[in-house]
Amino acid sequence: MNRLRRVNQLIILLSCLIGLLAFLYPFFNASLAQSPSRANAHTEDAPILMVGLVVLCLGSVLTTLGSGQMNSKTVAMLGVLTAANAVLRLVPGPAGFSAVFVLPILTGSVFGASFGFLLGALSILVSAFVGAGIGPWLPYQMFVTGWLGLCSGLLARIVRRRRFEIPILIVWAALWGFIFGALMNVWFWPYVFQAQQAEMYWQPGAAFIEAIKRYALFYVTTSAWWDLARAVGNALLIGLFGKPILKLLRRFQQRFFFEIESANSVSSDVGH
Amino acid sequence: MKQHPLAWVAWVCGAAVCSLLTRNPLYQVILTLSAWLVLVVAGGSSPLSGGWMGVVRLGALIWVITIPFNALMLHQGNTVLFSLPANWPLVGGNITLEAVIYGASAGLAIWVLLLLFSALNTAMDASELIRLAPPVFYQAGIITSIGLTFVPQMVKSSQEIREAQRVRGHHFRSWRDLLPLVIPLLTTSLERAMELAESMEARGFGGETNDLSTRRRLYLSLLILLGLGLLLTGAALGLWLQQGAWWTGMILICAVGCLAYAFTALAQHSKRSHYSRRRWTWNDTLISAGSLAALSVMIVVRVTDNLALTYYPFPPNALLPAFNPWVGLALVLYALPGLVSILREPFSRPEPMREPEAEP
Repeated sequence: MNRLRRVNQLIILLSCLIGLLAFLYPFFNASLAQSPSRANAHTEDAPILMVGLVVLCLGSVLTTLGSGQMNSKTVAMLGVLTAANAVLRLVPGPAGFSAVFVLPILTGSVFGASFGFLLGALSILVSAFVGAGIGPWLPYQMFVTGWLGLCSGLLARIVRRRRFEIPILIVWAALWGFIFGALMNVWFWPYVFQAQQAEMYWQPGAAFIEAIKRYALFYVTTSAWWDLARAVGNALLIGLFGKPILKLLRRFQQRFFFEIESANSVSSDVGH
Repeated sequence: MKQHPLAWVAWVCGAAVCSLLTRNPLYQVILTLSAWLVLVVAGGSSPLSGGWMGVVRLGALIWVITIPFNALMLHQGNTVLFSLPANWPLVGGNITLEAVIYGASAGLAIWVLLLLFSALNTAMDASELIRLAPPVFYQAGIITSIGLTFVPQMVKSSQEIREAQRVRGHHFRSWRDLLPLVIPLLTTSLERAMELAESMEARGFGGETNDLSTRRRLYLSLLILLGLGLLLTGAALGLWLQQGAWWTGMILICAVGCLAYAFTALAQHSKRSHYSRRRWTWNDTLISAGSLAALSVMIVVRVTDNLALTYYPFPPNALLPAFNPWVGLALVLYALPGLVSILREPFSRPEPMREPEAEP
């Protein structure tokens, strides 16, 4: 069983790595042909391939995390919290902000990285069904929000001191406000405007540093202010509601995840 | 529109891939008109149509705004419409027809995608889409189903808690006042989750969704790992290093083969039952076959000539896009869901409501 767990961890790691590369491919696509028409022709393949790659990786992670390892309590809790998070996404906030990131961060910290990933990814899926919309952007949104939950779980393993938990989570939530925006822009950045565009758009064949510069300009002029609103909103929500929600989740953690020890193991413990 | 969800998936996938494969504005316009017909016909019978038409209108507005933006920022091309002083930062220089057309065609490509998925969202019920989830995603499907079922209850609960807090004298003025709403809502939700888990256990749902031995599960997990490793290698060679040799394609095919085999094997051992399946009709066959045929035409044209579907108005290329009538005809097939619906119920009118008979 330990070997299976390790293999599953490797699957999740590799899927996340491929997913990340699928997001960041415009920065490594340096050796594409420079001819305008040829480059234009080639760049139309890349988004299709990348959507396929992201879907395959997402499928692998969902299969691995959900392959018969969850009990009914985990399934029920994930389902209900998914609904709560989907409703939070649909509540409009100022400057396009929504409270969809708060629960994946907090549940990831309390219930672990896998739970955080599933809650993040599936709540985006459910909210897409109930009004946010299904489209080619959906697998990317699922992946990034899943990463948010996953990384929050890993962060909780590193930072074990409860005293600094809330300040660290505030900074973490604000940081992810920017990371989410920056990653979600990358998936359509090379697709919307292509070769020979102004200096803030992707150009096939551009070197890594040049691509980074172009993207930084694009990000600052288009998305940074929206992401700032998201970051501030996330930080505020975690600051205001983080502590009571964490307390509540920990109380239910004891009720949901208790383990029954068999009489034999108890008696052997006593004997020793 | 009562089409089978699989037919809808075939339609939207085919149309979306076609839209991504071409930048030719003539083909994009045909695809837009086809998707628009489907959206309008689907919207006639869906309560969701109003919301999605709003999204489509917003997308159109953004598209229209980006055209002058693109024209102002890009100064290439021979057909000069007018000029702005060269010392104006960024926008100074020639404003060309080529830049306007290129901006319009690039924006149209995005708007078509929005239109296609709006039509899908309007025409199809979400629960039917979840039923299509492969058995390998059984648990993810269950969680999604629970989530979808609980969304209306969450909304109702939040209204009830809000009213209860108001009765107690609490006023919701700013974000800070939301704590007495959020905490009871989460507590109620988690209590419901506990009840749901107990009822699931009572009905025999123990979480074990397949009867695989640990050894077999390990073998399949290793196969998924191998598939992902090959996928990474193939993608890296093909996209980043541009080693477009035949063996790159072979690596990717092997990767997809490994993953497909592992997913299928996991799916075969998944315990799952179906309730009230929707029937597959001739119209579904027609729509699916039409979508696949159109996609096949696009792929054949694309493979035969790498540049046949591209459009780049800047010199030395021609300003007018090329047009292949076969491709145009193929894209008309994406209007089939709308046409089928119109032909099936051409003169259907809602039945007049009867006056309740007076009791003697």
